[in-house]
Amino acid sequence: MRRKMISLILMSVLILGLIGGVSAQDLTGDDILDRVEAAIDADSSEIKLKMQLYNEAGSMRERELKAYTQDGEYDKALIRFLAPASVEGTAFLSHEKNNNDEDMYLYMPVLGNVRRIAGSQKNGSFVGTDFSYNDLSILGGGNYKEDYKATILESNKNEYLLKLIPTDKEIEYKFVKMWVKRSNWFPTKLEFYDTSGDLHKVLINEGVKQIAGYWTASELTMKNVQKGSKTVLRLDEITYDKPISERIFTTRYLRRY
Amino acid sequence: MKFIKSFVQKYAKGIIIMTILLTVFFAYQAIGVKINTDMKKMFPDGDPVVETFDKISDRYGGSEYIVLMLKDRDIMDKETLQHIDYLTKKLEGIKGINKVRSITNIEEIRGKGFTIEIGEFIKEIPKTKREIQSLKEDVLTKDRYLGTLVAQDLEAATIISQLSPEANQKKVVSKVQKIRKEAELTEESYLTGSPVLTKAMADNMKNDIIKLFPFVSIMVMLILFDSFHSWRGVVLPIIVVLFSVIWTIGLIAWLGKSLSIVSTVLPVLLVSVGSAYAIHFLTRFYEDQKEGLNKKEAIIESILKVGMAIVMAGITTIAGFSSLGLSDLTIIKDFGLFTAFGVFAALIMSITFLPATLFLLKKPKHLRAAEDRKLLDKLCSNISKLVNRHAILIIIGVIIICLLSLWVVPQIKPETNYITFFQQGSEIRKADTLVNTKFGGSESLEIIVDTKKRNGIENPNFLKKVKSFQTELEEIDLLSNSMSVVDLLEEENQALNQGDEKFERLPGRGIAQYLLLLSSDDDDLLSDFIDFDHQEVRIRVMVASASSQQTKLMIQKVRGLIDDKFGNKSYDITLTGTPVLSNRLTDMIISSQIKSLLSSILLAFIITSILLKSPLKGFACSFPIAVTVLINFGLMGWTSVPLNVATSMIASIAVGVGVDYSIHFYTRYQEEREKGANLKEALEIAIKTIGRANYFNATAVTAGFLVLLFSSFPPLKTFGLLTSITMLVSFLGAMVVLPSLIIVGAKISDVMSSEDDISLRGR
Repeated sequence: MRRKMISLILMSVLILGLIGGVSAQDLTGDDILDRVEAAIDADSSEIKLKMQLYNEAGSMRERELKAYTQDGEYDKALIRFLAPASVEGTAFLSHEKNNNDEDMYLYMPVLGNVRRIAGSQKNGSFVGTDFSYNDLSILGGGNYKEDYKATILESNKNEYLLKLIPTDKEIEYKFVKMWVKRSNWFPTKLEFYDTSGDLHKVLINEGVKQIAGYWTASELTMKNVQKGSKTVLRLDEITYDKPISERIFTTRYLRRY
Repeated sequence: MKFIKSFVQKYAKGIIIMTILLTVFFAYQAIGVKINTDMKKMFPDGDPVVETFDKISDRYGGSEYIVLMLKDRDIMDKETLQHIDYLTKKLEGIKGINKVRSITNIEEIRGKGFTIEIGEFIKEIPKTKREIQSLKEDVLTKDRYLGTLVAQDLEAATIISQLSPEANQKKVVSKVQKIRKEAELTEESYLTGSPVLTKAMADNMKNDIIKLFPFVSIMVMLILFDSFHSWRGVVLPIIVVLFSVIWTIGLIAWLGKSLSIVSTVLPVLLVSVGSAYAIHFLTRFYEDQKEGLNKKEAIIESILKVGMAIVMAGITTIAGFSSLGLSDLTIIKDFGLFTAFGVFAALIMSITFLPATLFLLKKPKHLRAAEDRKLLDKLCSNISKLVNRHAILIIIGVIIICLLSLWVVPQIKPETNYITFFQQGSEIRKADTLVNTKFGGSESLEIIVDTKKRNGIENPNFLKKVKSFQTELEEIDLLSNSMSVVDLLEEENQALNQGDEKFERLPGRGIAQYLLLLSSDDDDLLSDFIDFDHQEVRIRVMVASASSQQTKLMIQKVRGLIDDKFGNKSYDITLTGTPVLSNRLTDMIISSQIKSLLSSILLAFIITSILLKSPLKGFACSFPIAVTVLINFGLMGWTSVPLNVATSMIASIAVGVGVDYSIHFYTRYQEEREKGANLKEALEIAIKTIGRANYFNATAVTAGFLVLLFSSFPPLKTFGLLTSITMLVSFLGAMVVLPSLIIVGAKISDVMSSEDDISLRGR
């Protein structure tokens, strides 16, 4: 599942950034998820982001990354570390295959070589952050229709509150609560509950603005309530729908840094 | 004493009602008393060693572990692996358990060609014989868990649960025990680890108290009956001591304190020691009546004459126990102070409640208590003869015994290993032996090396140092299976290089990149070994259970090695773990012993000197007890009884309780001298009368302590036996050594002083 990581983290960024823009009445939970999902229509993206990791004592580690995504018959994504210098150039590349499966490659400059990554890490931390692979997939929408079933818990004239229950046994959450804005189908907050039904993590999306016609959150904060740590993603330079060379998504390019 | 006499006379009923009301109050409090057997509770609040332990424990998700061990002819078969998998998952679900590690959930990084895989070592439990065989071959190459999760001989496996620092340990252990029971394992299974020991100790303690308290009460009642042949003589003293036990336990609960392992002794001790005051009072009461006084006169006479001696004896006993209050160990300190309170309660009740009740009761029907006892009287007269004839010889003999005892004192070794509190052959002991032989122990040392620089651990040279430190660490006795981030990096390096064993070594550069990949992990393995800022590494090494001496030596060696490798100013090193706590206790137990022993003897001397208004007399009374204490240490040295939390209290108890015999004896001797008897006559009367009370008292106390032989804690058994012997010795000290000393002292001053000093020469 690690293989889906890149595409999913980027998808998530997109999903949160985009609007569906359809007004609706008498929708079911799944319908709303459809709206949220359908809102992803950018073909490609190029994003520079800062990833800030905070521990429970408030200490912070910062990384800078550059990410490229390209939708197509099979989605592709590349994510590369730009800073700090000690990890600069480290990169992950993912190629979607059939059945929502992915090939995932890793490049470590110190190794000077590319390795394919195998194995299942659905519930673990993604490069030490508070985002797990699953958190990304719930946002990414790429496969979550197969993984979750949604019901409406509450709704008012501004927003819906959905309860998502995993249908995929591998997901170690009991349920997820998602607040979706009616005006732009933008999820503003998600709460993740662990297998014993205790609140585990909270995701908050802030600084929502329109970029190239798409709504985008410029700051995503994932708090691990149980550990006291949090991870903040700050999206700096965002370009949508600019054609990206196919060459970028090859293992040869991965190595070239 | 006159005040007490008139007070008791005037307010007899009031005293009785008051006593009962207070008892009801304390009994109500006592219901809520708690037991705490955690090793950390032995330390004073704010002890730096404990604070460090807690700090590291907080930072790394807990420093205490429950080890569940399975033993079978072949641990790597399908059935056992399924059991391990089942147990691992069940244990993970317990609140208070932070992490569970076993062979079925351990993660590893594999490299095959150009693919690397991070995942569980056993992805699926093998079904066929061939799969099992290949898994076996595989596990034998995995240094990281061979010897920690699976024994080298593949006959035992462990499931190790890390307790979160805020966990309710007792509850967690109970749940683990329940899960183990429900699993209906076909393998032998054992539980160990400090939380398990702590709980087992609390369980044993409850059983001990429930068993020993009634036992000692009945024992003392039998002795009382034998002494007084009357119901009154049995019931009144036993009520006094039961009340004092209730008051003490009630006070403990009221102050929010808890019963510790040594508190098991408390009821036993109060019953046997506290009954002494009532015994002395009643003996005099019966004696006076036999000599023709009526009931009321006898009570008044008893208060006036023996009351003072009882108060003196009580004060020295209280002082003896209070001297334990100087101990650095909280459990000994609390025990000493609370027992002192209990003795105080028994004392007060013996001179108020007891006579007040006697006032209200009818005159005793018979006075068999004061009747001649052929055997006892013969014993007393024999003592008289012996003392008269061989005083000098006795004193010389005593001095020789003292010197012999002093000779072996340096051989006494302190012992604080918790495992010694469990009987040989008990489940805990078996588990301990097994975990020592198959896995190198259940306890661990933690060494935190702080580079004082952010990302300081990403320096390959530093990591090389850590590696060589680990290699040398494992060469130290008792230590094995060290683990640090170095081991993870080596494994990763091998995986990234096509699984080639040549690359199972530290990467020479780019550590940050290796760590980045490692931090992507379901299991959060990395956070066990490094901090968030990449500033420090944590090295864990398993420690075999051993004697406190061996542990001390091991810790000294580890400290030496730390100085050697990281000795300059660029690093901050923290060394902690349960063996460090235990070692600190070892140091504290010696200093505590010296402090409380010296202060108790000094206090006994000062108090007797003040009460008898002469330092010389004070010395005479303290001498036999000093001898007793020396003999106790001599016995410990000769029989290799270690100095532990229990045996380290014997000296103070001996001083506090034992000096009473001398005080009673000396006051009676003095009383007779004041009446006009000469030295010889006075000694004879004192030996005869006080001998009887002292004998009753000594048998009650000795029998009381002997009850501890039925305790489930070996150190308490030893404690009971040694204290009993000490009590007999101090009885003999008062009855034989003290009169001999008086005679010898008189002879010496006879020779030294001028001829006109008639008083000491006798008439």
